[in-house]
Amino acid sequence: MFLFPALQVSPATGTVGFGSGLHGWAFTLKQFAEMYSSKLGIDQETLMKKLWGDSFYNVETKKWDNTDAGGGKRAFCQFILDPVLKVLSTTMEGTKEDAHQLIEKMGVKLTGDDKDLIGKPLMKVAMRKWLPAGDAMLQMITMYLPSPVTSQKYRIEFLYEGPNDDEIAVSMKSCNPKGPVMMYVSKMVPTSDKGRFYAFGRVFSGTIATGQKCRIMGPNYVPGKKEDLYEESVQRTVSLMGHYFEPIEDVPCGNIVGLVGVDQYLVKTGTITTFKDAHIMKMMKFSVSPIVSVAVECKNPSDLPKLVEGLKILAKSDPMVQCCIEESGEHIIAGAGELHLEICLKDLEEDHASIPLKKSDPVVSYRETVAENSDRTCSSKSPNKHNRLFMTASPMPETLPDVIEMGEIYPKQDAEERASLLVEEFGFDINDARKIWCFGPDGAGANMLVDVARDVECLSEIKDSVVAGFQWATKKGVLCEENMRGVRFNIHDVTFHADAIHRGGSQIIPTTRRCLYACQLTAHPRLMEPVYLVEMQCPTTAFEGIRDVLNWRRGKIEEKEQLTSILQVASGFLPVNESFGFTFAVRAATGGRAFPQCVFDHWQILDNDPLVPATASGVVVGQIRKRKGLQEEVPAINNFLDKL
Amino acid sequence: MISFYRINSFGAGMSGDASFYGDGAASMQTKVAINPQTVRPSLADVNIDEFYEISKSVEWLSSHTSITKVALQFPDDLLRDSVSIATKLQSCLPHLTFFVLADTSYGSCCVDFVAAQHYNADVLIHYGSSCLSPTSNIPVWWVFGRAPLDVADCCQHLTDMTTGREKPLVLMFDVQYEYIIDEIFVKMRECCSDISKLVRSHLRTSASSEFENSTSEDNTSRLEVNGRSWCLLDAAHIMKDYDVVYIGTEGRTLTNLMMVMNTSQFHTYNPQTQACRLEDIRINKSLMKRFYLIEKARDANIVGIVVGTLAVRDYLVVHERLKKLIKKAGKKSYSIIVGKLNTAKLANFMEVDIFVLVSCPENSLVDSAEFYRPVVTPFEMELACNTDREWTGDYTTDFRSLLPGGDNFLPIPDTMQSQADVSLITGAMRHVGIREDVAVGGQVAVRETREYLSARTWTGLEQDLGKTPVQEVKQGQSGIAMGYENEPC
Repeated sequence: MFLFPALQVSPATGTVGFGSGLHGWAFTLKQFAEMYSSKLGIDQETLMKKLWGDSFYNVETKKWDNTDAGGGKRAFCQFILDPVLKVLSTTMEGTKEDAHQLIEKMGVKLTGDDKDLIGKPLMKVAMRKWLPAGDAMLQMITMYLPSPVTSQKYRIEFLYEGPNDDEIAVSMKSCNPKGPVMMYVSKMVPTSDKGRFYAFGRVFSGTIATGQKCRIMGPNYVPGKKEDLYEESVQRTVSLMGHYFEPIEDVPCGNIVGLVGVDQYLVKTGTITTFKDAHIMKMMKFSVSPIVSVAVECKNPSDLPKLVEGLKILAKSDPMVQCCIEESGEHIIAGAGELHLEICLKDLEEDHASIPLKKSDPVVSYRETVAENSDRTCSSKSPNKHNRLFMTASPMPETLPDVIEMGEIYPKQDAEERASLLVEEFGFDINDARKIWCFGPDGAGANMLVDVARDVECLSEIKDSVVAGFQWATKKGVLCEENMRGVRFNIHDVTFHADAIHRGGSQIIPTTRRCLYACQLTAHPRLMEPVYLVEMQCPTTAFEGIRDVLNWRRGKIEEKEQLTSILQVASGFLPVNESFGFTFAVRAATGGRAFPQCVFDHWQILDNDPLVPATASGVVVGQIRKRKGLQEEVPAINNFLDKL
Repeated sequence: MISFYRINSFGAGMSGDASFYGDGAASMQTKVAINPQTVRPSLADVNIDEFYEISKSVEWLSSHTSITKVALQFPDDLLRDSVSIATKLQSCLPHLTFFVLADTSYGSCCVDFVAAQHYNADVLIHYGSSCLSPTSNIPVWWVFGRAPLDVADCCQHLTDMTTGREKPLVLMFDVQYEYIIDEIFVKMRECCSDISKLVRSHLRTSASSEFENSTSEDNTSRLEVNGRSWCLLDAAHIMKDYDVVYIGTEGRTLTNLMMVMNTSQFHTYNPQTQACRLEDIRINKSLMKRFYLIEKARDANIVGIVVGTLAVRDYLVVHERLKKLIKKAGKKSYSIIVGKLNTAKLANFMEVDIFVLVSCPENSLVDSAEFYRPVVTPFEMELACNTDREWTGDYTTDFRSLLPGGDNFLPIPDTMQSQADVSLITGAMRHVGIREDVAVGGQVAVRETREYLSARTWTGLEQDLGKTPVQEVKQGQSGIAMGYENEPC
């Protein structure tokens, strides 16, 4: 750890702040060191080190020591914690006179109505004026964060998708305000004008100015193509300060800025540039994914356009929420969890759409997978009976789906590099690993289609059609039309008609889909459900209650750590499907002494047969099929499998 | 002289209903799909006269003086009566030539006048259920067939169900109950305490003069939906103030009416099961599904306009309009004719993102869940492309109402402003309208279709000359993949 001192933070160096975001106050040791420096006759830097760790001060003897043997008190408590606590308790509980006296002693002047406050509001005002959070933050930012001139030199290669030596990359690295404009929009900030946003982000190169014509590029932009590319003038550039904003003529690189007039071309994030050949900046990745969703419906059908508009605004204003229409016509909002969705729904109903809504119960998304190899080679024939496909399904090695989802193995990867990775890490046959046709669904998911056929002529001719069928089938699995995950499909053999017209997409796509479904059904299909990692701090006495709640909800405690004699941290897993109302249940079971935090962790196989309606998986499948308006039973295998 | 004229379905080996799900057996063993509900026990000679109203047909034919050839068009499920009917008509009218049309190129509910013209027919008699779409020039006589109905039971059920309801009612019915509807209407009025509250609808057939006449009353407003017309009681009334009583079985006709009049409640009486019920939420769900398709249409870059009728009047006008609209919206369109739709035929056009079907109202609503790409109606395409048009909840399946003079007509704006917004399906940006060309870095932007083609992995036979070892030719399998000759059956 000593190898990277620059990446470490410590209160003694002033890189850690303490405070309350809610009440708006904060401090670093540096601020207190400044206060005490002249009084104690010690220079600031030395004093800061003394104010943290095993460093004790005896008020009587005025001596510093490394232990409390000499009757000294820990300096942090003596000089910082005690005064802060005193202010807190005096303002909250003491008499008004005492409080005002103390506040004066701190060098804080109360003005106007503030003088009449008592209790908590008084405490807030006093603390905010004494130790303003903004000052502490700004001080830390200016002192410890590298300046853009320094940081962009080494950061750009991680932030820019294009080549590291093109004009714009060079300009960004040197943070050149005279170069072409390059800006990354990281967030959409709502304006007072309903449905419009400031595009908020950092300028990396050049100077962005009001009235400037810019190219606006979304995350799907590829140089040379028109998709996700727009041109528009910047109507205004503003500087955003908390709730306020101020128009500003132009903003040079290294700064953050809000743009007016480009929001309609961006979904959530994007790149803005004046350089014609620029690539985009890399997308931000979120550590959470939307797994809980609700369907919303407007009470009055003619309100539909308003709902749609509202959903679009919601999609913009929240960096993670996903809004979409499903094939059933349901409008779905997907978020990270119950609470997140609740907030989104409230915003949608009250601000974005302003219409009465009907909401479904939260729904969890599942994945379909297989547990074993197909028990036979499945064959399906095309509608015209002139083509035949032979395929099997098998489960991927256990960690492979995660590796694919994390992007370590990806579709655009160099085929040889990927092949050697698959052979070494996952025990693939080298010939198979080289012949991965595609990933799916949507070309990038954790399912793969592998050509294991030997000596089949012209197989590549039907590749596009087979791939299309594969994308379709992996997007909507046979069990309940949820995405598949962790399934490897193998093409063993193909026979097809000699005439191209009889083996076109119309013949091959549906046949592929049917064949893949047959493979899935013969390989012990299983459902996977999302699982939360739950962490909570609680008094030891409340632990039993938590364990019971978790156990009752199919969860379990994985680890617990004793923090102090009375406090411990427990972590465990909880199926997302069981998490609705979990926070409430935990609070009830512990008398409000534990507060859980849930984060999506992994997908877990439900180890029972979803084809049997009575099993837990079977019930889930039945529910999902009903919700999606599908026929109630999973179609039987003979719908997909053709006998020879 | 009686001759049979058969028009083959378009596309080799693709007829029938080879869906993506089924095993495709239908396409091999050309079985005719017959709706079991409409199959009735075979009729004796006397009944044929009555069921098919032979005498009325004869009367109508006699009223036309200068005709010589008569086409008789049958749907598949009535085909077996065609010979008896033709024989009977022939014996009544020996100076005329009759011939039978079957296996219609599009829906059997539409008048197949192209087929009739192949034989230079002067008039056409259409048998069975009909979508009542107005046709071009040829005179048509509709014979719906008289389906049995217990008038007393029907009236009893409907009265029970509708008494105490506030809203006035419109009486609608499946075409095969037209013969008896007057009787029901009179009886219903007797039963109904408040007789002014029941309105009857008329069909657009050559026989019903009321259809056109119903405009004559001044203090009423006339409505017309899918070949049915009726007058509301007061000029100020709109359909929202009314509920509907429908006599007939579940099917496309009912679904269509419910989609179009989605603000009214439907009370239905099924004469076959003699049961009454209130149709409910289902329709709201279907509307939502259609809305999803409209979003899909907005996302699409390449649109296939499928011409699914050659008979409905103005189909060419609407086709032109769609082409213009799609172009204005910055999309590309192809026109396609495939005869009867099925999944396999449409999946051959892999580059197309969405299909628009120009067809009669009853065939317009295609459940495209099994299709590789969805199929929408012209109205939905308009909603997606015409920036002046907004979703209000109104719906129409009749493309003629989109044309100048129609109820839902809206001119195509001259300059469609390029709009960018978020797609709720892909979550990405999309745009409606023609965009000014943005200078694309490096090279000129390629067109969508070419882009599609260039993204294909297979670009032609790989010759691999000299790379593959020469091998001796061996005897392969013979037959087709359905079952090769050397395989056990």
